[in-house]
Amino acid sequence: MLSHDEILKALLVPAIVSALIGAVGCWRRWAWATPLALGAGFLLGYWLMRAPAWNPSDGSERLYWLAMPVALLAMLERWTRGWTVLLAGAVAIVLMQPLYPRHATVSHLWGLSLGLAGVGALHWLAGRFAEARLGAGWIVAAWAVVLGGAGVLVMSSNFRAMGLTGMTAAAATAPLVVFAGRAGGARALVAVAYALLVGVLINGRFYADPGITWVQLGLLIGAPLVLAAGALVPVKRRWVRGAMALLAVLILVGFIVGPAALAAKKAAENPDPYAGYYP
Amino acid sequence: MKQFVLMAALLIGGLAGSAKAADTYTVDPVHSSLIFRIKHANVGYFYGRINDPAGTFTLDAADASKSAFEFTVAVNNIDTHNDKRDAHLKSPDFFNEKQYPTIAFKSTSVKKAADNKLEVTGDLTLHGVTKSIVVPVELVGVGEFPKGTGRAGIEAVFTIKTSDFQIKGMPGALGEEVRLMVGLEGVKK
Repeated sequence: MLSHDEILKALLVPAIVSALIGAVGCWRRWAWATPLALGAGFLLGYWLMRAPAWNPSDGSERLYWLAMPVALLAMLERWTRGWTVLLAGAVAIVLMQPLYPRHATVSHLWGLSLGLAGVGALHWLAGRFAEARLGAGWIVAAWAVVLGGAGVLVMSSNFRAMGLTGMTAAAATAPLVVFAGRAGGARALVAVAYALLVGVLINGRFYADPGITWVQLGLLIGAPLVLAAGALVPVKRRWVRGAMALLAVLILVGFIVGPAALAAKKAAENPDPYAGYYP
Repeated sequence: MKQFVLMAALLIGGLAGSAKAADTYTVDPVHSSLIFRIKHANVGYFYGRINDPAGTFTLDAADASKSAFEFTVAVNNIDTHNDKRDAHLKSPDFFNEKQYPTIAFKSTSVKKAADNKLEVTGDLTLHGVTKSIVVPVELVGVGEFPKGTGRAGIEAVFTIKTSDFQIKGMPGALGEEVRLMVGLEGVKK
């Protein structure tokens, strides 16, 4: 169960900051404001929870510093035509490097990073396809669901700090559902959101014990791609296609994260916020 | 001539005797303990341990400054009689075992504080951070067990702050200060 302090810093503040920046971007139709809103909300929430040292001590703190250049580059998505989603591969290498060679071999470092970069390209293509058929709002909503799900899952793997980070990213993404459509920054948001998702899941896989499984990591990484399938539904009304696509993502994420969420609910029923943490 | 030989023998014997004043012991993990205490929810103390410390210590009865202490313990050996809590402590929320698998202490200077008590200054490396700390060490005893096997025991009790070592912890749930109680028994080399 999250404490009041964590709810404020990790969820409310990122959502408010992101909403404010997103609202301005929507009003001025600045597409680059969408990834800026996500990046700024995430970084502020993270900083309020635990201002990381400039010399990061672990992968979760490295993700904080990486989020800055990733968000800045994502703001240039309009001119880079989606190459920014390949940054997730670089994020993976930087996060796993401290674990080399005990827990991350060369094949892990390069194989996983190249694979994640390739999947990133698929996300960009899927996002481009889905945005045309569904609209930006459904894409952003799907990413908020996936990021939040990743946070819950990683927290259940004895990694509270990184779990909160995932939830913070989700909180910063959610308000942009309202604003991204008019601002037009859904694909740029994918670049930042995907890098953050990769960061959360890699930390949950390689840094925590027992850690999340390869299957959970793979399914969550690929979950937003289901949007493209939803976009193919032969229904005339756009919003129906969007709702069905989002529902498909929700079902997949729920299947992976549901058991972990139920355990967290059980822990939340205990008045001591930490007593149920070790059932 | 005989006197010269006698004096030489006495001199050599004296030198040999003084050279043996410093004895080095290898830590016996079976009879050594490392226990930590931390405040939980600001209402009670919780105790846990880290099993199987390793290392060596040298005790010089004649000159305390020639004593030395060097220990390591694997973070993976944390034991709080709760598997999920142990796993959480090994995660980056606390010790980050995968990135920093070992806690180490190496003395840099030793001086006598009182009878059977030493003041040991050394570098403690924890969570990738190395800090110089001063540890009061008590010489518990020296003997043989079983016969023919020399043993010595020391104990050290000191406090550190998790924030000094960039350990995130769980603010509000756990205190920042950790008391370490180290009881080591060594077998003479």
